Amino acid sequence: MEKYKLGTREMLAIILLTIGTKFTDTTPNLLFPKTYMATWMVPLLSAGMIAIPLIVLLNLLNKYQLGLVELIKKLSGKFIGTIFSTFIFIFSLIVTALLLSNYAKILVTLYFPLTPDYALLLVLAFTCFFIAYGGAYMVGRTAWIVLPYVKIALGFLIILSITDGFDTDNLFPIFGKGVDVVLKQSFLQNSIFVECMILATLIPFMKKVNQYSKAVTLGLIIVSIEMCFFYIVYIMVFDAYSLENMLLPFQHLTRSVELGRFITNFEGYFLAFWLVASLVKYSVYLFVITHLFTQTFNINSTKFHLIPITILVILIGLFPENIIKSSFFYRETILYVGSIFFVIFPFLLWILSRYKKVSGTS
Amino acid sequence: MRKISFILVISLFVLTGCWDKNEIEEQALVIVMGLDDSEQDEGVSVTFQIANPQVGIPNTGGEKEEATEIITFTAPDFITARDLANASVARRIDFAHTKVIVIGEEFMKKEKAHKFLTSGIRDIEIRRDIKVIVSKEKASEFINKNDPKLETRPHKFYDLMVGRWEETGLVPLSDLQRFFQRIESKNDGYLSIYATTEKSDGKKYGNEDDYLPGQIDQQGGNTSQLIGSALLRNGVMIGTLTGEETRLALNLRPISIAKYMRVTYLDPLNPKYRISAQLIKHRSTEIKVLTEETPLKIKVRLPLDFNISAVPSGENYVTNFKNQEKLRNQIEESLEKKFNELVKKTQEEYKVNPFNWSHVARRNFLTMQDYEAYNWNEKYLNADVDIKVEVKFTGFGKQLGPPKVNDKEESND
Repeated sequence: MEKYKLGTREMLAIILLTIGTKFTDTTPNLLFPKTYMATWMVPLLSAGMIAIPLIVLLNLLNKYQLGLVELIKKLSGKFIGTIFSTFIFIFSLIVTALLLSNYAKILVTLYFPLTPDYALLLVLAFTCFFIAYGGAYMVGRTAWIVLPYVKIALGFLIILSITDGFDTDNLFPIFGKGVDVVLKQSFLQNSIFVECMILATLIPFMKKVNQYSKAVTLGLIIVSIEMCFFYIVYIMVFDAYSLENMLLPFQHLTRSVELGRFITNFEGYFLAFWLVASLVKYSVYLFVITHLFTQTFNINSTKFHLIPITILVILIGLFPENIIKSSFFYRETILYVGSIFFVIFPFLLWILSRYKKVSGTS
Repeated sequence: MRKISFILVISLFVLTGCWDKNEIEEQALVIVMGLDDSEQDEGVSVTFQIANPQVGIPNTGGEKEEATEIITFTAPDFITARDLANASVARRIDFAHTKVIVIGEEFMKKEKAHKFLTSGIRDIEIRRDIKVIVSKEKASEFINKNDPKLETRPHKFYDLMVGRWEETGLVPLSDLQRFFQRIESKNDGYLSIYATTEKSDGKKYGNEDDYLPGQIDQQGGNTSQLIGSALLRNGVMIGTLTGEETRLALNLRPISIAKYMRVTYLDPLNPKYRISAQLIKHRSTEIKVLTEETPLKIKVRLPLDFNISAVPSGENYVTNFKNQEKLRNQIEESLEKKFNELVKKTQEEYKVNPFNWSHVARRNFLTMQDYEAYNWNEKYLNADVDIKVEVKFTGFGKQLGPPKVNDKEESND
């Protein structure tokens, strides 16, 4: 069934939607109180930092022509490989659950103040479940179909907000709290791009392995520039001093734009596109973590295990009390752990592969 | 299968969520909100002007209804005031279309006022583009007396006024967004629209813009006058600027929103008259802040375009270039003098800079620590400001020289 496998463009669409929606949630709120007007440098630096381990990983994937979990298992042996991939599975499970509950809470905070957040979480999770249930090809195709609409809506928003007025002086003092802070945060937050590595789990559903590397390289470049650009717009429109205390700058941007004197208050229009993008994003996540799970423990049916995994995601998502706890405390910790792990981990694999080669030849 | 999916689709319409359901008919849209100090120690006196969407629409029963309902009461803050308002208003109070927050001058001069104003931003219905107006009298009084004659609906008055403000520059564009930026960066003063419905006792006859609200000797029409601005330092009102000073201040800002204003200047050849012109400012003010020098040096270059619209003295400024130069010098000199006076006033009397120059100064620093250590506010007070006005005459209307009618010819006819 070569026809129903993912190609470069589907993978690119998946990356652009999963990472490319991160500047619309609370991720900027993790950065702005620390790096202020230098926040726009962080995505570029982070992408640069994660590029090196990523290249190592992509080389290994291409060399062995395997998916992520298979590669880990092959290089580090069955037992240690299982431990490694279990860690990745738990990491992605928690991140997904926290992010999903985060999105449900964004909706509560800004659009549906009287709706209980668990109801929104349930609706979101079930919708994502149904998309993910269609399998990897369906998820990839959906991503490719909705991608242009989402990006056009974002472009429209940028044009509208820039015509409303901005101030380039807000970008100064250019280094914010200092170069050291920017570098430190870029390193600690580089796991905002970690999807580039974790999505390698989907390689068994792809036509060729090198299509994955192509999509990821291109995706990383586009997404980091896009993110940087959005941060610049936030700073120019709102000023970094205000952004320190402003939850969800993207939603504030959609609220502040207007189309002439008559068409105002139309953030609902952007909400629709944002929701579609997030639904696709979480169906990708659900499918990926389920596949991580089934591959780690050598289980055949990915689709069947979507049900318990979705329920697990909902249950973990119910845990954080509010958006501040889920994003500032839990997610930040997880991001830091992930950043360190995913920088070291490809090098570990690379050393293992060298070791294997040496021991194999001797 | 088909039946089941049909039932599912149909049930979508019936089983819509009950949370956050919002019927338009059940909403009471607050257009203007007023804040005053409460008579007691705590809380704030809140005034809501609620629009009646039915008014003036034939065959709805709304023809004879009042356009608005205005209620005032004391509440802990204006967000919770919503529920209190429901003691007398049958509909759900909604802030989503609030255009303006009016604050009484007396209240704005107190430290606590801006806390009430900023605390409300947490509510999702309060938008950052709400305009802030400081009224000379109590806010409740202003809202009750403001009675635009041409506008049936209250929101339209403010909506249209915003458009005029951008044109005339007699009042600044003051929204909550800018209010927050000034408070949070702690560096520049904030100019807010200043208004009143009271006639001031000290009537004065000034030129086109040299007024505070209430001073314009206007007869008939709406009693409210919006001209000039209230100057706020760290969210507390410390003084007022007249319409003219507001215009000057807006022109000195690095980004000017008011681009067209009608102004008059003394005729250099015939000082009995004034020449009127339309000032057009398409090019932005060039500001250089030399932070490395002590005292701080600020160089401002203002390129202004003038479109001469009336020369009542009848002197020839159009084809006679010598006269034109005289006029140019006259305008440049008088403007520079006015600008310098205003800058001095802000340095000595108000001790705050309302021109957003700290934004320009930010360019000179690499990190926020350096910038904060520089202490811009202190340095500005002793700054050496050099203002240079460059006048260009871009047009003289659709008439060449003055009409060739002198008194004698007139009497012969």
